[in-house]
Amino acid sequence: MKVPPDFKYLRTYTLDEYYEKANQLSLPLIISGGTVAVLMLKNRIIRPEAVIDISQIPELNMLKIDKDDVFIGANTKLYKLKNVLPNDSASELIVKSASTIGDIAIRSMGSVGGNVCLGDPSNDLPVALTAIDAQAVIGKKDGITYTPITSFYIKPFKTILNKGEILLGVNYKMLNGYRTSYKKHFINFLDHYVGIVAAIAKIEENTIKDFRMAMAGEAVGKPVKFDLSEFSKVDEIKTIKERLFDYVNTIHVENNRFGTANYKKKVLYTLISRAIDEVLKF
Amino acid sequence: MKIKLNINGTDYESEEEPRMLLVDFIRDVAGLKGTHVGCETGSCGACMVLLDGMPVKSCLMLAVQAEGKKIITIEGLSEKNGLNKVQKALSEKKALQCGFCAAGFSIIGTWISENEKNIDDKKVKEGLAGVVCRCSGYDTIIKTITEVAKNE
Amino acid sequence: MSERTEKFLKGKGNFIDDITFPDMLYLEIVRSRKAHAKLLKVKGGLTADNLDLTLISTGESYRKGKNYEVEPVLAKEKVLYYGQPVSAVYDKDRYKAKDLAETVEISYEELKPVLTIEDSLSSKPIHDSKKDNIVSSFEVGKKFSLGSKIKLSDELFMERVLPNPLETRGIVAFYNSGKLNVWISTQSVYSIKNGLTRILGLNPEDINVYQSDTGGAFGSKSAVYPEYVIASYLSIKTKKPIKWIESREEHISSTRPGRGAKAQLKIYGDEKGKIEGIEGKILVDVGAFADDLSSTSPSWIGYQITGPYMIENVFIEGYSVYTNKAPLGPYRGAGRPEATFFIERMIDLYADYLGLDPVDVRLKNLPEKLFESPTGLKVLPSKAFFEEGIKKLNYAELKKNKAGVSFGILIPAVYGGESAKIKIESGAVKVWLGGNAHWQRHELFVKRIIKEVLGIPEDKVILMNGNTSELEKGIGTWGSRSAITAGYALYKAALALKEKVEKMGLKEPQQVLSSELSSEYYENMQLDPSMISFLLTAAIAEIDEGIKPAIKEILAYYDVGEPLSSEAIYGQITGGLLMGIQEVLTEALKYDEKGKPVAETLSATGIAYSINAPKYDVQITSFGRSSAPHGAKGVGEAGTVGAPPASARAIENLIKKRINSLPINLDLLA
Repeated sequence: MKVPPDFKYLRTYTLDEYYEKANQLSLPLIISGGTVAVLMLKNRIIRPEAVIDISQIPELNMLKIDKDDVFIGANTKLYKLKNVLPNDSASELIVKSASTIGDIAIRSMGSVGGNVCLGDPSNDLPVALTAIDAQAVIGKKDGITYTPITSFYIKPFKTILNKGEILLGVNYKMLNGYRTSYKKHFINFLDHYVGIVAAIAKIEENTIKDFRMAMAGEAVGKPVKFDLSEFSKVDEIKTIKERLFDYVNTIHVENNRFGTANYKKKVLYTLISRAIDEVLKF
Repeated sequence: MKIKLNINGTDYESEEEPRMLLVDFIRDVAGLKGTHVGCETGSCGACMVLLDGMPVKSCLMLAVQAEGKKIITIEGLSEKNGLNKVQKALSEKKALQCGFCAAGFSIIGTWISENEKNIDDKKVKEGLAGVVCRCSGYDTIIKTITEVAKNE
Repeated sequence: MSERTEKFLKGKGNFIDDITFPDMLYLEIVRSRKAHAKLLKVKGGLTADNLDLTLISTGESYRKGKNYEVEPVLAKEKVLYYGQPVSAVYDKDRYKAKDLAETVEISYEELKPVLTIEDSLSSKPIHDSKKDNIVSSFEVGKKFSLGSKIKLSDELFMERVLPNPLETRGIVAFYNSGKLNVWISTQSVYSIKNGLTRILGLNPEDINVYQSDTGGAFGSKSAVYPEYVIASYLSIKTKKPIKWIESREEHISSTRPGRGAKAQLKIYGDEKGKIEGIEGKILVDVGAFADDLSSTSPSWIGYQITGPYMIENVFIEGYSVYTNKAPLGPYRGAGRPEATFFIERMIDLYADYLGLDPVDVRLKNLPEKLFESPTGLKVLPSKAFFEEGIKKLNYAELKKNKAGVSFGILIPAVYGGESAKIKIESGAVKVWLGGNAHWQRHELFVKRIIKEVLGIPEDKVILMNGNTSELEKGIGTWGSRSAITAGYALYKAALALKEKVEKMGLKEPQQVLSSELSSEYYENMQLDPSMISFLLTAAIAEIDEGIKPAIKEILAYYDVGEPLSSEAIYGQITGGLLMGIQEVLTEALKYDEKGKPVAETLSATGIAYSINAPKYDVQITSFGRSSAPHGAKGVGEAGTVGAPPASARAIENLIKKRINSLPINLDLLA
């Protein structure tokens, strides 16, 4: 059977308490919902001296909307996003992404912070957050920093979070009047995704006013953001797709249990193509 | 450490290691054996329970995380050891075979029928994903839960 | 309403992990983390070196009669597959037992693992005692030479598949007052009892085996595994109850998977679609150790290669070979799906070559009188069945949807017969069967037979779990046999009881129920053609976004003989169909280049979830009764036989590329 190794359990109620404990311990594991952390413990991939439960820290449970600025606390359960986020397009993309994570049981346990902090290329939220240029809000003893999500991930399963720091939540600007698309592909349900693509675009009279896309997944690695600023016309769809296909061709894709490199590239082309069609085609 | 959980309306308190999984507390401390362990990685739903009304997989949670919350297991879905609507329908339609998945489908089926709106086959099919039945090909389970949920 | 299901739905089942005793010890098995290696050091726990001597010598004597290598209880000197038991530890605390397992030190000298059939044939033997990696070889049918106009060859492969019952394997062994009591999740308390008796050198009267509620099996809970021997042995040593529950990870690495079969076939025929012969090789990868079942698998597949067809010339060479993988076992169908996939794919190849409709070619080759294949298989004329079925499934519509169609037979494993016992006790009729149900709904046919023969209302009939002290002799449930064999034994036992009832002049069911009568019956059975059922399956596929193949509709027209319970049969068929479909799409036990299973979780083994369920159109029909007095035929494996070739063909029809290997290679879509 799979059972976690022994550890000390520390429940924290305030950020200060968290910082104090996190700085004392060598390698504590942070737990909010548990889906990610408990599985790692059961697999004994990690053997932390202590597990710090952050689920009771008020700042991490907040949702703040300030004009067009949205902050989602790290403890927010994934299933709740659909009910609490505003109606703008950026939030719509986040909801689309969150509602496809695992099954309802995973979404009702799992938190935003867990999905963002693991750094697994198959995690959903990082792709949506990358597409809307969200920021990671990082807390530490001496203050708060805002880091673009694009620089939050160093490589798969490695983020910039240091000892004693904590992801307080994510922050983004509302976007209005955009079209959104979220596409992903898996071979086995509740397994890794071959590819994930998120797209959001604003079009006025056949002119692309704003167009952002991000991609991740097992075949891709950590989330990548595409620079699409040079395109301004909707009728450039074909060129845009080709540009992104060219990018896919530069990635090193491995043959593995999810398929051959050829197959996985076809998956990525398909996801990209579908997402672009959904946001740019009328 | 002392762990105190409320399961099916009853408080259970026990001195346990913090690493104890919620499913083991339910089975071994509370003695409620209807919640099963099928895959240990959240792939199968045999360990599903309701936590403050939401379905969760109790093999992916520490028991201590469930402190202060209301846990409902398959045994607590109806009053006094009976069957609720979903359980009754699953039984009448002979939807299950080996029965090891009973907790999963009872819990998720109940949750769907009480919470999902505008129910159809497709919604139920997607809602049940995450609970494995290895025996039946899912057909009778999907039909049965759809029928109950439509009548809610 | 089924009392059994109601019990499960109340959470009151009694599965193996639900059975506990005071002072119980939890067993953890420490397993090899290499597929092929010399063991340089094993330190900690119970190891092969400190296992009791009699145990090993008993094991040795069993091995002597066989010309294949039998799995040892614990690895000694060498490990031959990833997941092979090397040491065993136990503790009264389940979590501590797991911690303890981590303290066992094993060091290896790695050897190159042999992982494919091709590798096996060209590599040095993995067993030092053998000259090569061939476990056994067979010839089925008769050599022939034909000047046929058409000769087409292909190589076909079905990957290994895990049984993956939702409840993993498990056992509780308790040696108490000179007797070993074993509770186990199983398909047969008898194979467990016989195996443990033999390996542990016990007297048969000193061991009782009780079946716990069994949460699915699909072939995986019939054999005696090392863990059962270790648990029993340790209970005898410690005089304490010992529990072992398999983790899913252990199931993936160490429970016996099925399939893993390859065929190199050549089909002979004329230009009008008349098949003249089939020849070639069938090779089965039995893994690191063999048993009677796995070593004879190629000849069993060869025996039924002609399916429902009249093919006058057949010659198959069969080989089973060793590899550095977990030993092979039966998986729902056990040889039947392999034979059907192989012949059906060859017929599609032939029809395509001629540009003929594959269903026409099939119909053209069905016998019009009893046909005895050169392999020895006898099948009844089936033309009327399939012609009717094709009409019932609306072939014109199927063709429009580019459906794949398969014809098949289901041979029930009736040999050995079966036993049944009826005992009237405290106002209820209790029934034990030699085949131990894991709730495929045997209770439905049990209730029906008792009601029919004895007139006792169904709610007074209880099907009990397997128990060697109540019913001494029995076989087991597998191979689509239970309705026929156990049903037959029960029918006879009920007739015998009826005679007693009549002699005593008991008339009303109430009088019978207040008696204390009992009756027991065992009879061996021989397969005859009337027991073989015919299966017509059709599948309609879709390729979502061009990258994700799926089966959206599956149609079955299946012959079940006299149907004993239509709901039970429906559930058996839909369950089997989805497993069969999934084997085509994603389900497989694959290994990496070092011989480690690539899947680490249940979902990664590619099993079906509700979102994979197609629309089912199942038509249950009777193409005559079987010769068993109650007329039943088998059904348990029907879907796993019929679905794979139909589903593979359906996808092939869409992608226009030949599919000859399962699960399908997604590169075909690239």
